[in-house]
Amino acid sequence: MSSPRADLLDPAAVSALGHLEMVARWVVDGFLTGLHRSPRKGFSVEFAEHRPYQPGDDLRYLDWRIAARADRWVVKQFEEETNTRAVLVLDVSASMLWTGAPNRLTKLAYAERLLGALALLFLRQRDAVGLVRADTGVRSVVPPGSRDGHWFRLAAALAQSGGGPGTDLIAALGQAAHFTRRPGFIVLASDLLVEPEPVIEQVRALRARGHEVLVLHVLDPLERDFPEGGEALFTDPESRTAVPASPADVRREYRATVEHALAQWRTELLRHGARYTLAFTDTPFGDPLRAVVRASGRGPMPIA
Amino acid sequence: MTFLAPLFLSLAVLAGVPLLVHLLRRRVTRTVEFPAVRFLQQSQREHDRERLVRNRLLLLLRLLAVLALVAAVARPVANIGGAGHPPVALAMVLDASMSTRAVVDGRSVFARLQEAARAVVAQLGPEDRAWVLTSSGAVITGDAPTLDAAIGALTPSHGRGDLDGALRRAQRLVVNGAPRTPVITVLSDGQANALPSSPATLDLAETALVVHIPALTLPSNHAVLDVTATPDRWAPSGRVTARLQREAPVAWRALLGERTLARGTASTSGDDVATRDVQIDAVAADTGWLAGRVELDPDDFPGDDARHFAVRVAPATPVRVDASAGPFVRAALETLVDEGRLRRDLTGGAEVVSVVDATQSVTGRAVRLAPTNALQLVAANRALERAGIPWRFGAPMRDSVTVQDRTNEAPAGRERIDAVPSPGGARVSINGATVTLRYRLTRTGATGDTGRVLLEAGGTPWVVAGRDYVLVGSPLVPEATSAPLQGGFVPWLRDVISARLGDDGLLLHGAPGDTIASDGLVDSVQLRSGTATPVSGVALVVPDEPGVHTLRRLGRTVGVLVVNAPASESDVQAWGDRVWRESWMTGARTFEPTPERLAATVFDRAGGRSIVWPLVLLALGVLVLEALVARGLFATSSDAPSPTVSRDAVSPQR
Repeated sequence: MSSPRADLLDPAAVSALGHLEMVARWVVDGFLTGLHRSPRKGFSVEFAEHRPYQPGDDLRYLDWRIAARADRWVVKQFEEETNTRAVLVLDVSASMLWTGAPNRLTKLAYAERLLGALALLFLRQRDAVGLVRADTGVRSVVPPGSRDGHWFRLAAALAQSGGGPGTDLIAALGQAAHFTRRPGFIVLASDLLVEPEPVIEQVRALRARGHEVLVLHVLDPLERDFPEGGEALFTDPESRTAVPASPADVRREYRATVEHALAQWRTELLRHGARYTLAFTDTPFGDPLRAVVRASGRGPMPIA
Repeated sequence: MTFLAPLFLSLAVLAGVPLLVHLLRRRVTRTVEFPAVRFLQQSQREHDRERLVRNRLLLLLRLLAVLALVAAVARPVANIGGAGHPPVALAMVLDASMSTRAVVDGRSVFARLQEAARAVVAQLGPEDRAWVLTSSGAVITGDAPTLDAAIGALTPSHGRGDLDGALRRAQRLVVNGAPRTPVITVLSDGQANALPSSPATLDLAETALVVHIPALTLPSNHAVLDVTATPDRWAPSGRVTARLQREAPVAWRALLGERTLARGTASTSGDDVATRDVQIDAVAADTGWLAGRVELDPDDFPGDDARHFAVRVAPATPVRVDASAGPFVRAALETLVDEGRLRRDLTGGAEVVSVVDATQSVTGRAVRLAPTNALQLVAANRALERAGIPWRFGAPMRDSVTVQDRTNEAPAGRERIDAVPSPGGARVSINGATVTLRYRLTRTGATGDTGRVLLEAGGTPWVVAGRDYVLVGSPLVPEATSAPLQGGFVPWLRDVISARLGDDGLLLHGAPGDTIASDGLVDSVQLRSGTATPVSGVALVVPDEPGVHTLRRLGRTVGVLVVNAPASESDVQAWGDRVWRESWMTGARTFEPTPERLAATVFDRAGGRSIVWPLVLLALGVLVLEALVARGLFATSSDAPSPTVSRDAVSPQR
C-alpha cells in the first residue's frame, strides 16, 4: 500500500507534520512521483554521465547496451541544457500573516512552503536558487546558489519571521534582478494587496531584460468570499484603514470586485509575458506546482 | 376601509423596527482584521449608488411588509374584493313561544325555525360575531359550532315570551359589533301575540332586519283557554269553570288532585261559537292546597291541551274586630263575615287577625290603623314599640294627596312586577284614593324584618306591612281618606287580612317568564318535579313549567303558584309578517320566508369583505421580493459577478 502523496494533501495537515524543510521535501517527493507517472515528459534534457545501478532506480534509465556488452548495470543521468539562476521573491508583509480560519495556514506559511518546494525542485536539477524576503523593504536575501547545503540556507531564510507594516515589491523585484545578471527565473509569491501598476511596470522591465517571471498570487479563500457574520469594522492590518460593512449586504459586490481585480492582474501580467498562478491557502501544494510546470513548458525536471 | 380590531393598528409602531435597525447599524462596534480592505473599499466606491438604491428599496419593502401584516392583524374590511361573505354582527332572534310547538306536516314549527337558524349559523365566518336570542330570554354567543349546538339544544317555552324585548336587546348587541355590518334575523311563526299589540317605536337605524316567517298552514286547535275555581277557599265545596276552544267535538276531563271530577265532550252542534264554558260543581275530599286541571284530548298544538288551577280547602280566616277600627272597617268586615269570606272569632287565638286602632295593645297578627286624634300618637308609637314593629307615626299632615300602589313597581334593574292578585285572580287595590289626613310613617333603625311599603300617599309610606302586621298611616274614615268609600276597599281589606296576615296563603297565577310580586313572603318555589328554585327580593320569575307549584318560606308552605300558558297563545291564526311591516319600526326590513334562501339573504345585507388574506399575501409577496432584492437577483447585468477566475496558472502570451 503506497503512502499518500504530500502534494495532494491539505496544506495545513501536511504542515502540521514537520518543519518547512521536511514539508518541502515531502511535497517535492510526492510531486515528482506524480510527474513520473505523467505521460508528459517534454523536458529538454541531455545525457550527463553514468553511475552504478542501485536498487530502487527506475529501470527506464538502465543502460541496456552496457549491461549487454559488459554485464555491468549502470543508469544514465541527464542534465538540463542550461543551468538557470532562479530567484524567489517572498512577500512577508503583515497582510501575509493573516488567515481566515484557525485550521488554515497563513498566506505567508503557505507561500514559504510552496517556495521551499519550488526551490528544492530547482536545486534538484542543479539550478541556482536565491531568495529575497521583503515587506516595506528588502528584509533578507540569500544569493543564488546550487551547492550542497544551499537548500538549508534557503530553508532557514524562509522560516524567518515577517510582518512588516507595508509592501514594497518593487525593491524586492529589483533586488532579484540584481542577483540574475543573465536572464533568469524570478518567482514572486505575494498576496498582491498593492497598487498593480508599479508592480506590473517592474515585471515588464524584468521581462524586457529577458527574465522569466512567475507570479504566485497567494490568497486566503475568505479574501475571495468575504467573511461571514454581522455588521463589523473591517481593518487593514497594514494601513489600519477601517471600513464598516455588513457582509450580507456587500458580499456580492465584493466578490465581483475581487474577481475583477484578479482578472486584471492576470491580464496585465500575461500581456507582459509573465506567468500567473493563483493559489488559495486551502489548495494542496501540488496544484500550484503542477500549474507552474504545465504552463511553463520547461522547468523543474526529475532527477533520478 | 374599516378595521374589526383597530387596536391592533397600534402595532404599526413595529414599522419603526426596520428604521431602528437601519440606524443602529451605523454604530458598529465589532472590529475584524481583514487584509483585503482595499477590495472592500473599491467595491463600495464602485457600487455605492446601487447599494443606496437597493438599501432604500429594501427598507421600503420591509416597511411595507410590516404595515401589511399589521393591517391584516387589525382585520380590515373593504370594498375591494376579499374572500367569503362580508363580516356581520348578526343577532338571531328565535321565537320560542308556546305557539311554535304547533306541529305542521309532522314537524314542529320550532324545529323548522331551528333548522333555518342553523343554516345561517353554518355560513358564519371567523370575522363574524353572532348571538342567538330567544323570546324566553336566553342569550347565547360564541363561534359557529357553539351556536349550532346551542340552537340544537333549545326547546320552546310554555309561555308567550318577550320577542319584542329580545329584538331590542339584539339591536343593542349588533351595534356593539361595529364595524361589522349589523344584521338582525327574526325567526318566528308569526303568531298573533308574538309582539305587543302596540309596540314601542323601534328605530333600526343602520341595522338590517331580515324576518323569516315560514309560510305554513297552521293546524286547527282546541284548547282550554281558562279555568277558574270559586270561591277561593273551599269549605269544602266549590265550582270549577272552564272555557274551552274547539273547532270539532272534543273530549274533556276535569281533575282535582288525582280524582276525576267530571268528563264530557264539547260538541260544536247547534252553535257556531268557537268557545264553550263548562261548569263543574265539586266537593273536595282533602284539605289544604289542592291542584287540579282541565284537559282535552291531545291535538297538533300540544301546549294548551291542559290548564291548571288550585284551590284552598280550609275554614275562613278568623278575625277580631275592635270598635276603635271605625265604622267603615267594621261594616266591611261584617260583610265579609256574612259572605263567609272571614270568620268572626272572639277567642283571641294565635291565628286570629285583629283590626284595631294603633293605640291598642294587641298580640299576634293585626291590622293597625292610625289614631283619629293626634294626641294619641305617643300612645300609638309606644304600642308599636311594645309590639316590636319598626315603624313610627310622625307628625300629622293635612293635605290632599293620592294613594299610589307601590307593589307593582320594579326594584332597580328588574322588569315590571305584577301586583299580587287576589285568590280569585282579580287585582285588588285602593290605588287612587285621596288622603287628607295622614301621619308620616318612618322606619326606626331596628334590624330584622323591616317590612315593605305597600301604598304611598304624597310620596311617603302610607300602608306598610311586615310579617305579623299591616300598618295604615291614616284612620280609615272619610274624614281622613276616601279609601273606605272606594269599590275595591272591601276586597282589599279581605286581601290584607286573609292573604297577607291570615292563613289563606298566596295563590299566585302567572305565565312562564312573567315576573310577579311575592312581597318577600316567599323564599323558594318548589316545582311539581321537586326542584326548588330560590326566590330573592320581592319578586319571582314564573318558571317555564306549567302546573301548580308550591311557594315556601322558612321551610313552610305559604301558598301555591299556578302556571299556565297565556290564553292568547292558543290563537294559532297566523298574523303573518304584517306586524313587522308596520310603522312602529323604522329602517330596512327584508322578508324571506324560504329557509333555503335565508342565509344568502342575511349575508347579502352587509357590505365590504374581509381583506385579511389579500393583505397577508401582499406581505408574503413583499417579503419574497425583499429576499430577491437582498440576494441581488435584480442587479443589472454590469453588476453581475464575473466568471470565476481559474486557479490554474496561465502562460504568458508569446
